[in-house]
Amino acid sequence: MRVKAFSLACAVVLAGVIHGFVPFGADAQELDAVPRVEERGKGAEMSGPMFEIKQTIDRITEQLRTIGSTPAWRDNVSKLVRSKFNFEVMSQGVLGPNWHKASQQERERFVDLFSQLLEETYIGRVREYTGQMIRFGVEQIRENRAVVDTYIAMDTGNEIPISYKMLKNGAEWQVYDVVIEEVSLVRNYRSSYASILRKKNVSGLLTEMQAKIEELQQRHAIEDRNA
Amino acid sequence: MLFTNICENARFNHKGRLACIVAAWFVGVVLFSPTIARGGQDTNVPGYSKEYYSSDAAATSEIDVEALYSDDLFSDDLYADDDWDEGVSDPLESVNRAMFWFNDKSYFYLMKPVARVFRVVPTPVRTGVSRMFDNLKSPLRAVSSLLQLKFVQSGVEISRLLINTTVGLGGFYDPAKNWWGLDKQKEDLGQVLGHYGVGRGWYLVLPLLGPSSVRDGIALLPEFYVDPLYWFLHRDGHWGAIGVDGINTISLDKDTYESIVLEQLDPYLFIRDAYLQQRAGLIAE
Repeated sequence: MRVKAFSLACAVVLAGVIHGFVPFGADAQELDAVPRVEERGKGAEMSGPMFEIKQTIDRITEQLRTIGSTPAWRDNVSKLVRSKFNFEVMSQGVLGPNWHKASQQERERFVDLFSQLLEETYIGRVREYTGQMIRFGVEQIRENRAVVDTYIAMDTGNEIPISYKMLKNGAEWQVYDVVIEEVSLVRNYRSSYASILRKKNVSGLLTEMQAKIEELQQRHAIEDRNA
Repeated sequence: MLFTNICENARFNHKGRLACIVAAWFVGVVLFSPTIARGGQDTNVPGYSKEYYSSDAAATSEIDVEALYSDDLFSDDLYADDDWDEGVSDPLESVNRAMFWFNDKSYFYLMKPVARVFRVVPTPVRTGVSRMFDNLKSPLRAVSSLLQLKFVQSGVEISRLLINTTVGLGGFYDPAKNWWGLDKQKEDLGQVLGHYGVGRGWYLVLPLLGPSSVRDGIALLPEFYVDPLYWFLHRDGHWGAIGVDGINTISLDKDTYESIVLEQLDPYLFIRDAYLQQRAGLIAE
């Protein structure tokens, strides 16, 4: 019994000592992976990559609210997504070494199919996550590239970090990668497509993508009718 | 639990059994680490060479696409240590796919229906329960941080445990984060091994537990014993608790798995690569 009490006391003292290392309040910002900076809308500038992400998310959310009343909502969301994502750069990143092996025609077809596929996927995800709290973190800009950190509050009590990597194309910032909890979307597609391409040629992959897009479109059409 | 059985037969007492398991774990890791390390670093896949790549990339495009997707946020390097990228070590693919199929069926026909029943309980309650289970993993995260000599993170986890267990009513609420700004530190024993240079080894799909690797699978064994629930509920009760925690988490999830299965050309590959990428990212942190 005394031994138990002694070890408990030791543990508490140790915890206290270690605890001393932890600065509460303002300094705590630096040690967590998640910097808590500004709330949504507060202190935001009216231009720049973060502003554009915010604006696009707001506009998409607005469109999603009109599901059922506006039949054109899907086209509108599609336009928004296409203006904000640089699908050409993404496609090159996804195909990696295979991009150089593909013919010009195959490349164009891939960009077209990949943007459709990603669009369908993205719309499906955004639909599920409406109403979830989005917190905006920091925005880092270096020359023509930027990273915007956002956090989505999940029902499990965790926050999922989602970073948008952006590239300045003319006057506009466009997303070229989305990193969700350390997982880069483009790298993820790249390694799984690379595995598929080890067994099939590019045209086989394109056929598979086409079939997947049709499947998703049919499914979304059914969902829209039920909405 | 093979080790426990061996130890039980040897008539060890409880502490002796634990020591036996921990010792076996370390011996195993040390013995296997060369093999494990070899597994994860297999970039020499035919048709893949960095030289070919870098020279060509610049020629075909004005933007250096490869640099955009490297580890460093603003890196100019081409493919900065992308060892997982093309050379994913998955020699057990056929076995893994069989297990993936089994897990897929278990998810849709066993876990999901039970999770739907759980949804009768209001979300805030289930969220609280999920946080309570998570709170009990704080000691594991604290130990894992400490083993990597991350003293501050370890302190954060100990503080979180103390605050959330008391003020947060056994972890039902998370005042450590909401009031003190102490965020959860994502650390586990697999990351400890990774931190000290143990490669991830072959990719594994574990029954019901899902994606893992040889290294992370080995790390699961001691993690099992660090969980306070094991000490309160013993083996069977602990498995029950793991099950309840898992199904509760599924009940809170917005059908992530369903979307992946629906949207991806090959869900097995997508989940495998996401898992490996996430582990690599967590270890590099």
